[in-house]
Amino acid sequence: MDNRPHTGITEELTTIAPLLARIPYRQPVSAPEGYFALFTSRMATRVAVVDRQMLPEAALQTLHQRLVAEVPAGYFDAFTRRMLSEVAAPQRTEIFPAWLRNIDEKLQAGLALIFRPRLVWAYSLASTLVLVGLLWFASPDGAACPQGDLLCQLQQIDEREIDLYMRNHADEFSEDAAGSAYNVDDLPAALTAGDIWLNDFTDEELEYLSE
Amino acid sequence: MSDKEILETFHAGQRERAFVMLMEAYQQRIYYHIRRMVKRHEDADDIMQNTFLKIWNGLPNFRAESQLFTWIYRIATNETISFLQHQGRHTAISFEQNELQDDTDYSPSRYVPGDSYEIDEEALLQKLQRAIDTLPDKQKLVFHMRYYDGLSYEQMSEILGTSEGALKANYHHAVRKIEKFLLEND
Repeated sequence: MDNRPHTGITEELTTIAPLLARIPYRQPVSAPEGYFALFTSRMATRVAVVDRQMLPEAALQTLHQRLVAEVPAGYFDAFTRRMLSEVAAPQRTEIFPAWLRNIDEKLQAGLALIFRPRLVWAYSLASTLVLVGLLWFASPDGAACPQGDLLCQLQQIDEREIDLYMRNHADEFSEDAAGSAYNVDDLPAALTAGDIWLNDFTDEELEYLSE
Repeated sequence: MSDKEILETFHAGQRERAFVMLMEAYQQRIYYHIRRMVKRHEDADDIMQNTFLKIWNGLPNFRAESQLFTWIYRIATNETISFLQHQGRHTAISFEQNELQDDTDYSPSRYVPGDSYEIDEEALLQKLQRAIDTLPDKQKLVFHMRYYDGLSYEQMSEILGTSEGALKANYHHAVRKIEKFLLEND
């Protein structure tokens, strides 16, 4: 028996393929039992069918028996509401021109490339080294003078500090005060002798006398 | 229910109800069309969902320039072909004229069976499926649409975007190959 949807096809086959024309028409595949009722309910749910009353009875039964057991209760309704609220949200208005957005995107990409999380330790170490180096070179002479090295300490005194000190202690630097500041008895013995040769003085002694 | 009823219901604002009506009307035909191409039910189910979601999204823009059925069928066919291409089981379905050349000798005198030809129905049905599996994809698609779904060449032309002449040639080549297979593989 030919239950083919279009009977003219059998007549056509008879002329070009007689054996094929004699083979009874039958779908070569079949769907699992209840598939179509389930499919209707699944698709209806996916496209936000809230009113279940409109579903065919068979689809409702299958939905109740199978779908409810497969997903959390109310999942699809919540999902539908969430999706509807998302699509209903107003679109963001673009206020910047396209070329500016391109530059911004490239900048953001560049920064993201440089400040990758895996390089954070390397950047931290490098930053620390740079900071220590800056502090090192920022000190006046590179390092503190050894204890007891007066000459070194004197060299580190700024001229402005000396000038300020002298202004604040002007009375100590008057000629009288200067003259009374040194006791002749405290001078080296060579100065009291008749024949004094400069060569006999050490550099420190000469510097002391010149002051 | 008719296409007109479905579309009127949809445009009356009862979109979900119209969609359910549409599924009730067409899902079985579409399912079998897809399933014959992809074989596995799970694959057919995936394609069915994609197809009907596209139908749902496209319904507001559907203009009755073509039949609702051919529009649905075209979406299902395209979805199936895309699926097969992604699966790597199918390169392309083309209906270029140079691909329609067939050197097989189909002269009827070679293999028309006599009246005494014994037909084991079940065996023949199985053999028919093996014969269909040997066809090139484009011939297989056309054969399915014509033999199983009973579509006219005009409908097939609208669905596939191919001339009726090319489709007739494809179908005839397919039929003759199947007939030959049935006769030679007893």
